[in-house]
This record gives sequence, C-alpha cells and structure tokens, in this order.
Amino acid sequence: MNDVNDPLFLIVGYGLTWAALAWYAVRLARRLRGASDLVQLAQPEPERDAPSESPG
Amino acid sequence: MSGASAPPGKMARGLGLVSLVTLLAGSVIALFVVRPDALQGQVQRLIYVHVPVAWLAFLAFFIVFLMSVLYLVQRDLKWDLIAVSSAEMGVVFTGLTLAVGSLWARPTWGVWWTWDPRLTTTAILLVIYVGYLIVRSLADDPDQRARWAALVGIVGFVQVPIVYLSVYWWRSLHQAPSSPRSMAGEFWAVLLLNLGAYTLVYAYLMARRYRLARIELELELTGPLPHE
Repeated sequence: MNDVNDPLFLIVGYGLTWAALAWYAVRLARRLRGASDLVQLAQPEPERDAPSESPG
Repeated sequence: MSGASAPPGKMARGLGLVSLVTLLAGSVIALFVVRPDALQGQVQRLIYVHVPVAWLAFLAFFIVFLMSVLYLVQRDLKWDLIAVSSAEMGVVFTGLTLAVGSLWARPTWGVWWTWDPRLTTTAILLVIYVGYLIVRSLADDPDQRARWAALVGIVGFVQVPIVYLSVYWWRSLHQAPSSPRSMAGEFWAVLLLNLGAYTLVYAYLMARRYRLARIELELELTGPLPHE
C-alpha cells in the first residue's frame, strides 16, 4: 500500500485511456475518409461528372 | 445503403463535441475536485475510469447479443453492422478495463496481474470477442459472415454475467460491484458523471463506426472499382 499516492499510476491510467480512445477515433476518421473516397471512385463516370442542375 | 458516404451531420459533430466536453469535465472533477479515498489514497481515483469502461464493455457486448438475435430473426444486415461496430468498441473498452485495473492492482494488491476469478473471466471475455472479430474475417459472403458472427455473439454473451457474478461465485481479491451503498455519495455522483461521459463517447464512436461499416458493405456489394 506504499504506492497508493504515487501520481504515476493516475497519469498512466488516465493517459492510456484518453490516448487509446483518441487513437481509435482518429483511426476511425481515417478509415471513413478512405472508404468514402473509394465510394466516390466506384461511382460511374457520368454520374460523378454530371453537371449540377441550374434553375431555368 | 445509399447515402452512407455522405458527410457527417451536425448531430454527429455535436455529439462528438458534447462527449469530449463531458469527458474532460468528468476527468477534471475525478482528478482534482473529489476527495481521495481514506484507505486507498489517490490511486482510488482510477475507479472513475475503470468502472465506466468496464460497464461500457458489458453494454457493448449486450448490444452485440441483441443485434445478433435480431439479425437471425429478420436476416437484415443492418443489425449485423451494428453488432460488429459494438463488438469492436467492446474489445477496446475491455482492453482498457484490464489495463487500468492492472495499474490499480499494483499499488493496492502488490501485483500487476493475478489469476483472480474476476481478472481471469474478463481476460476470457476479451479473447471471446477478439475471436468474434476473427470469425468475421473468415467468411467472404456478407450473409454467411453475419450468420457465423451472430452465433458467436449470442453464445459469447454468456461470459458477461459470468464476469459480473465471478466476485460472488468464487473467492476473489476484486471488490464487489460499486453501488450507492458501498461508497460515499460524492464518490457515487462523480462515478455517475464519468459513466455518462464515457457512454456519450461510446455513442459517438458507435455512430462513426456504424457509418464506416455501412460504407464498407456498400463497397463490398458494389464489387471492384471500375479501373481495377
């Protein structure tokens, strides 16, 4: 019970949790961006390059 | 599946912001405002991380169980996509539960790890859901993959009540689950605040992960890219 007030355990515990969640969130964002890019590429050319409709 | 690749809405961004702010507030109060425990000193503050991530692991695996049952009943791949999203989150939270628990065990029990019933059953829980994710990679057909995964998701969930009850069934170093009767009111309030904060983080990451799963399925069903 000598180490119970050692701040290192708190720093590592909280730091590890935040780092793991941040790493997961960033990894998800990258995978999402990559997958979204692939969907854009997979769309047929005319649909991808079609001009936007203008009124009139 | 159309629209899966659309940019995230204001709601998702808002949820992300709210979860971040709540997590920061909960952590600041847990680390600097609430009193330390009379016996366990400062290290007891790890409870405000350890218990929320453990409960969220249970919640995540319950969602996997529920979605697996729904998939087998309705055969709608939407349920399978929610299940895999939640399983991945559950693995992250179970890993954190074990890591933070180990950090708490060292100064209080004198060891980083011991084959205590609660620790051992939690490690088995992690192995089961890593297995769930591995099983998914073995099937190419989305329906077959969903069927296999649903079976593992339902059978594997049996381990969750075993983990929870392990401290009652066997002699364990680990304390019984926290409750308002086992801790002071202010500790309980801070624990609930952090439980809410981590639940918001789970909800946000789940929304993102589910969106990714939908896009990946959309790509899988569309087939290879035109230029490949």
